[in-house]
Amino acid sequence: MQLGPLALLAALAAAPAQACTIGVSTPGILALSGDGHTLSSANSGGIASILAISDLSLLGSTTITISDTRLDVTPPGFAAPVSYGATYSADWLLGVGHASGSLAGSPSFTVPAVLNLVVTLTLHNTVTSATGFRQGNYTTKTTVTCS
Amino acid sequence: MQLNLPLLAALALLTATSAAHAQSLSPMRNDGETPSMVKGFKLYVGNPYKGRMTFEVIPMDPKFEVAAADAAVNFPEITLAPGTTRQVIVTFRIDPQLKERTIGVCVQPKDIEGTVMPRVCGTYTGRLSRPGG
Repeated sequence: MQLGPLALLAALAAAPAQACTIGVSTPGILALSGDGHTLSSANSGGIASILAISDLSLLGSTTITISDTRLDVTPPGFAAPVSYGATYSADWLLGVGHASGSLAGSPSFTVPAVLNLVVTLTLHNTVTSATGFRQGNYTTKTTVTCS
Repeated sequence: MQLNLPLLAALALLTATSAAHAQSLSPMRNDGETPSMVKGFKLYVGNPYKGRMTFEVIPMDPKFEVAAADAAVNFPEITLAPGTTRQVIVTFRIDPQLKERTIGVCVQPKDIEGTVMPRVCGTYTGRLSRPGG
């Protein structure tokens, strides 16, 4: 009967107390919409970014926030005004836990303190330009914060 | 009962191994008093990556949106070998009229390539100690 508390203490002592590892499983691909005004991984031919978030705190819940989606690489001379969007869905504990949202609404979610919890985050980035996109390479970058 | 012991040992080993590779900022929350108008906290930053990496340690507002004024870190950039941890000290000024201030601190890789900028952030609260308290 005493093994239960002992086991918990042993696990807590050895576990990462205040940490977070964010790994990119799939970097994702942006695709151009038919009208040429939207670059998005949610467009036909696009692929979402998939992240695995692990090594989370066991001392309390962890908040994961999606923010600051921006263009990281553009063709030389591209200066058209753009707007950004992102949507996400997250699952943990084999789908027992789930969250979804967007940059505009509910950009954060909280996951519980569970030993060896892994959160799978699926992220779609979108860039919209009223004047369209010139030919070239574009990449986006999104900040994912554990706190 | 005895069957559980090897399992627990394996579990502890597994978690200890993962800790060595975790992007870490420890502690991620703290608070304390100061007799002066400046409060400092000792933090530990770790490198989760397989190679040597340079990290930026940035004092921020408590929502981690903008850089904090009147706050500094003794090593705003640190280069760490894989799996290692280093101590940094963050200090910030507290307005005597407000008596308390909370700042955020974020650790992020410098010049990381790819589609995601991973950050680990914490919040730290300093309070002016009461005279004679």
